Amino acid sequence: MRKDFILNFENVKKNFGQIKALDNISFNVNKNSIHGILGPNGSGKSTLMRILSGLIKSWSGNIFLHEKRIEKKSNKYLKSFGFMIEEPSFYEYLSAEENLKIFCRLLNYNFNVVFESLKRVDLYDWRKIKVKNFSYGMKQRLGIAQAILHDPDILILDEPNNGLDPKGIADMNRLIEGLQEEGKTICISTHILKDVERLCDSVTVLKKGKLILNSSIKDLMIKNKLINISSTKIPQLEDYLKNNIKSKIIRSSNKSLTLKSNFNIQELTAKIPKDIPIISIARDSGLTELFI
Amino acid sequence: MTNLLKNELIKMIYKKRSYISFSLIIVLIPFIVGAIDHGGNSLEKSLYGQLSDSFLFVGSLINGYLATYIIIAILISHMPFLSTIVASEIVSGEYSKSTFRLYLARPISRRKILLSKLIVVFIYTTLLMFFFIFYSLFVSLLWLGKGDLAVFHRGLLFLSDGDVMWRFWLSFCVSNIVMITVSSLCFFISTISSNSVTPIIITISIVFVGTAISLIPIDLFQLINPYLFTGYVNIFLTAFYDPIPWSQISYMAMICGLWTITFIFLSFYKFENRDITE
Repeated sequence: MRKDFILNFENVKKNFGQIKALDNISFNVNKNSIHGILGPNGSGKSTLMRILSGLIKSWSGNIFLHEKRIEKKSNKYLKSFGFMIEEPSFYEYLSAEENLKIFCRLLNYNFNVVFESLKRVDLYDWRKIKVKNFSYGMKQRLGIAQAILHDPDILILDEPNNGLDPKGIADMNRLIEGLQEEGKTICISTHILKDVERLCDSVTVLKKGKLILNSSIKDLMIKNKLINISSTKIPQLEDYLKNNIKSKIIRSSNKSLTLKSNFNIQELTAKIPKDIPIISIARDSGLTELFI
Repeated sequence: MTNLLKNELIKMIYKKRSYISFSLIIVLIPFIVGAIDHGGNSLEKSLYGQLSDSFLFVGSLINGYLATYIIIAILISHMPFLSTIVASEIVSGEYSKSTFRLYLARPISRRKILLSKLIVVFIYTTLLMFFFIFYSLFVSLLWLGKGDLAVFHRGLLFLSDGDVMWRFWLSFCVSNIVMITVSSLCFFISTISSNSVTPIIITISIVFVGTAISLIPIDLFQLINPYLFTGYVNIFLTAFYDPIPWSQISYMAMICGLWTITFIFLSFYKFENRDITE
């Protein structure tokens, strides 16, 4: 087991009756990385997170934290984790401040951390307002606040960008990056694949409880050799690429196409004629294909 | 543990439903006391009508003590409805609203969390029973004043003014033991149910069936009734017997204690091993 791994999953299995929610899942998460856990609904992402958080008790396999095996009967290891699993559910009849104080009391923490966390997610001015009056996006931010309350080493965030407006998503991504800069390891599950490519260092893809892929984003981009091009003249671009560069078009829409090519971005840009304007050109991880 | 208890008390205090039972009692008791005062004569006649042929009554038998005694007798069988309001949703409410997803993902044992919830249920039940009996007494004494308490026990039994107060304390203690058992049952169902209505419905159904068993004079029912906690809902009456049937009270405490321990054990077993998928 390599020392730069903070979390190791080894043959993790969970059945709900006849349904295999997780089927022999094994992967590692690097220390101080942002690791994406992807998969369509019902792929087993939330089950994996619930197992890690101790909410699901009956499972088999091994999980190692800092090379130490997590014992199912003890939950002391949870001190190293901050969780936000699925949509954050709070005590709606209590204020944001009182909700966080509830979690503080569980861990015998000073209430100062409540105010620090609320400031961190821009909810300090809303601290006295009952959570039932919060928008979905505010609840998401409060979910992050409760997860970072005790300054954990690892954050497990399930769909942290859900329900956020574009500015909210940008702020959330900045917050996640900031947490990584502080030395934290972050596992996020999301459906927004662009965010995964931009934010994550590595990724695990699950499908119907099975592990489809575990790789760093960098390796994935090098291995898949996919390039995504946006243009105002996609049909012409598609014809040109097919006839002159012999590239395999993986997918195309009115505004962009993705092709498999041995050329790098500079070489390919130079080969495309000037009368086909390129809006953007970038490497593509191919996660969309895996996800679908 | 103190912090866990504080959390549970805060949750209970901030929830509006915690006050439903108290509000009902606050409104209902003066209404009944007023009705007893208003219809005192007819009540006296119906209670002691036949005895007035043999005895000469001077003054009125209707006073605050008798009114409280009547109120308890009327309402005690309905108290399980009110005392289980908190117990029914203290665990199931957290499943249904998914708040356990955040609360249980902490390095605190589930056992401690459930214990804190159980203690709050017991505190609520005890407070409610205390409030029910002593608020009734307060309103009744304020409205109707003191006097000797006349009850039926092997004929007509008069308990003097000075001999009554401790009996209300005893009635509170013994009826609280039964209500604690009822709350424990509801608490257990709350740990296995994902909505907060089911525990109340199941608990009240069990109390209803159990009470029916205690009232139907069939040999088999008479045989099993002493072992059911539901047969002791009216145990408060024994506090007004002379002498007090301590052996009957001790037996009731033992049976209710055994049921309570069973429900608590099952609650902890189910909760500690349950997968939280809500």
